Amino acid sequence: MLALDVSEALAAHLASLHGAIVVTPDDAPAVAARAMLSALARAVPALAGLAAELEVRANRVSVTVPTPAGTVIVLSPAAVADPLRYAMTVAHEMQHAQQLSAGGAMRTSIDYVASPELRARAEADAYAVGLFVGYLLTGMLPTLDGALASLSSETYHLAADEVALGRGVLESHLTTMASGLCPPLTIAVDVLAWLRATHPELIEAGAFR
Amino acid sequence: MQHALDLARPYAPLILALVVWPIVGAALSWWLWWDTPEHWEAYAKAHPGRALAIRALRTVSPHLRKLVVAWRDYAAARSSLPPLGIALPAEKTGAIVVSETRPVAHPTPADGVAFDAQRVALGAVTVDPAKGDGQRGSVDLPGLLTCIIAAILAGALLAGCPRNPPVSGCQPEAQTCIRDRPHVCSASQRWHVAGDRTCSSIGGQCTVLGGRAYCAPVADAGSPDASEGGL
Repeated sequence: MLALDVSEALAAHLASLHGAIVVTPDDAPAVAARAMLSALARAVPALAGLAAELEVRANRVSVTVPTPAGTVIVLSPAAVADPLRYAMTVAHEMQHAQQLSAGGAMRTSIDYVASPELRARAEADAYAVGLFVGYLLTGMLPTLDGALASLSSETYHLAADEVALGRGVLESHLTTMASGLCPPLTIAVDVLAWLRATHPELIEAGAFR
Repeated sequence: MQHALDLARPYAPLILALVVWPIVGAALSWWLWWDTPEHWEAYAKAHPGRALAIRALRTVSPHLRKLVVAWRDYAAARSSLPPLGIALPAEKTGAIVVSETRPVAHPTPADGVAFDAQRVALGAVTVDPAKGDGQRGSVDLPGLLTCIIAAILAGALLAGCPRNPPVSGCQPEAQTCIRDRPHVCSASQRWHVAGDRTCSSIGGQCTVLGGRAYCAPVADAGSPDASEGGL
């Protein structure tokens, strides 16, 4: 049974491997950011609607932000609500951190913002990592439905063609998982290696024990 | 908010060029300023490359210090004028006399060409004024154009050119293996790679089966795509 402290340990391990900083909703920077947002909404009534929308998004959307001090991963309250979701979300966001590290923070950010195709591909890879972690910890081979629904959501602003590209990437990764291999994604490899080394009993997917 | 960002996204290069760059450039130009020409000359002598970069930056950026100096000059000129509607010759003469009794103010670096000409006249420098003094106040037009073009190109490269793969003419949604990595064809007919590692790095081999490219265990791998290893 996956416990929260194991997910936190996984997050700490991945963060140390990839030089990222993981911020949970209870950490001081997140609390301070929410307080500032709330104060701003009270001080400027015209911004109250925007602040409320940001708060709603912040409650369910985790983000990875490149900063001069390193990549910062801000986990949403929803992401840390249960250990499995925590592990899957951390792995997803850590894949973005890996993309920033491999491609250069500035260039990767420009790619992500300016090219919907590159954004679709980056997100599909990240969702595949999350799905793989879920597969490892539950033993249930994931389906495309959830990830595709997320890719099609307002969060990523992808057109149907770009979602189709993301679907193709996800299909490739899921087929790789179904064939008994770890998808060719750095964070997926890291998570598998860590679980095998520290908590092999938690691996429910028989092909990966 | 997100809607506003979406609306602004196509204009990102323009916003960067017309808003972000002027603000950043002006801030840098303001910050990179030396109190006296002597300090600047010493710095330029010690670091000619950096001095060139700073001068190029000043050339292509708004220079707010000069704007401040211009405003001060304007304010000084206005303050020396007689009040409107009063033009008594005796008062004018008196004003001139008073101004002549004032000590000569030492010019600042921001006084630019006039200051430099004054320094040349005083024998403080031995630079041919016709060639410019190699410092502030002179603008080399070809150099300026070169800097502007370089800045625009750099801005375009930074802002508007994501690293999309080249258009290959592939069939959208098709999949293939290229260099032992699964690829998916996008609507713009570019091959996008799936994953960030090769299949061999995870103990597999890139395989296309039923139109789907993926990493298969080596023993189970089907016939590799014709393009595998060939690109």
